[in-house]
Amino acid sequence: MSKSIPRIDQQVFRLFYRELLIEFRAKEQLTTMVIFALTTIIIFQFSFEMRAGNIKVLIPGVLWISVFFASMLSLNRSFSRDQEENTSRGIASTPIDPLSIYISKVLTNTIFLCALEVILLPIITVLLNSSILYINLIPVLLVGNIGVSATGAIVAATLANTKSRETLLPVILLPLLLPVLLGCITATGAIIDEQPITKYGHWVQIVAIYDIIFTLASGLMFHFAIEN
Amino acid sequence: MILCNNLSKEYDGIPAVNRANIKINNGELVALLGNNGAGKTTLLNMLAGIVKPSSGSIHFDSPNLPGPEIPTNRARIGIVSEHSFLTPELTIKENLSFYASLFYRSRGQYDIASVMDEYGLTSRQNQKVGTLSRGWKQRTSIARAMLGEPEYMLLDEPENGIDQTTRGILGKSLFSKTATRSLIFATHNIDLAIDWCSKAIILENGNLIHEIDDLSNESKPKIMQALDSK
Repeated sequence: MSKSIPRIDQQVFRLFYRELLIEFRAKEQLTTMVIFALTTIIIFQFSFEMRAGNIKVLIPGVLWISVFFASMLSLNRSFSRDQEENTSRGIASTPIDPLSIYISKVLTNTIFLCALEVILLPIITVLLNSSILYINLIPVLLVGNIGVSATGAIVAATLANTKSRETLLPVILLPLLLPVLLGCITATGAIIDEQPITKYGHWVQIVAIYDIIFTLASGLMFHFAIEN
Repeated sequence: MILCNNLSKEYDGIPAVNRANIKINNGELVALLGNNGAGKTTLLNMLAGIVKPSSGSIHFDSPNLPGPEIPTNRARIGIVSEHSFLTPELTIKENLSFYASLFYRSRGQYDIASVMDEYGLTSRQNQKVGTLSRGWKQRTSIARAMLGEPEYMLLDEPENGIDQTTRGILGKSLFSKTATRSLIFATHNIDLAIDWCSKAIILENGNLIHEIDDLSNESKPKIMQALDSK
């Protein structure tokens, strides 16, 4: 006797909806990400005002470092929350595919990072007195957010049961994400300098390829991560 | 029927379950007894498909058919633990709707309202699970486990910290509706195991050390002896 269980797209949507509903109720992840990123930018702004000659040069690094560390807060909370009442075990016992859990976590974190950037970019423009509101920046932000979320989700899931996960997550993730961060920082810098797409397009492609490889590999290995 | 063939699970080279051969027939009520670290939870996690065995296999219905690694087979399992598996930030209704949506393809296949009614949760349906007492959380957790109308009910010390009323609801829900539902009940409570189950499996350090087929009050000294012997 077999039940008509949800298709994988339905599973992803239902898990994703739960994540959004929790955030809507608890307002934990996005709020802490925004507060952290804002604090970082304000500190940088004071520092640059006193020392740096050309602030524009430093903006890409400030943006992506803020995004990277803010995503650590979100990823950690996303998985540690499901350990509190052993919800992860409950979800794993249902007829869903572990891949659905992975995709929903990546999707949620990517959306949160996009929301963070929507808030952050105008603030950076005002605080650092240099406009970075370029339409060309959207694909760079998107591939960067996907890269951080896709790699972060599998590492955060693997570390979810460890005591020192908050410390270990950025330590493990930063070297893994160096290609994404370097590519995105370089591309963002080129866009701010109003260079043509030929000057930075290959960086976006490299990050996009990284995203595809890491998303596929992580999706295939995710069941090992949640089992442990 | 659930059939375990030489089922083993190791963590860092240490066996949590060691070459267990178990057969649980449809409608059979089995108690898993053992001291802490005996391997009860690991065995239940493997039966639920949450943990993959290091070696050996689990089969549902027939020795030739697959076990909980198949999603449709996991849809036949319900699990209640001392943890609720619920999301504290969401209400009772939202939690039940979420879990039901993972078992069924369309909304027409399940009725949350009647489940909440059956477990006396209707009046609290909009209360967040995080604000509930242990007993109410466990009552919601039982309703959650019953959403998929399971054929195999796995209980991992669900009686911990719950009152007599909730324990009664748990017992009633386990033994009502279907006589073919199998029960695998891991517990330290020997009296409750005798009350609910007809068979007992005693584990020690991952090894199946004893099986009692006709569980009754007369079996209690035998169980105590087996548990104290190691």
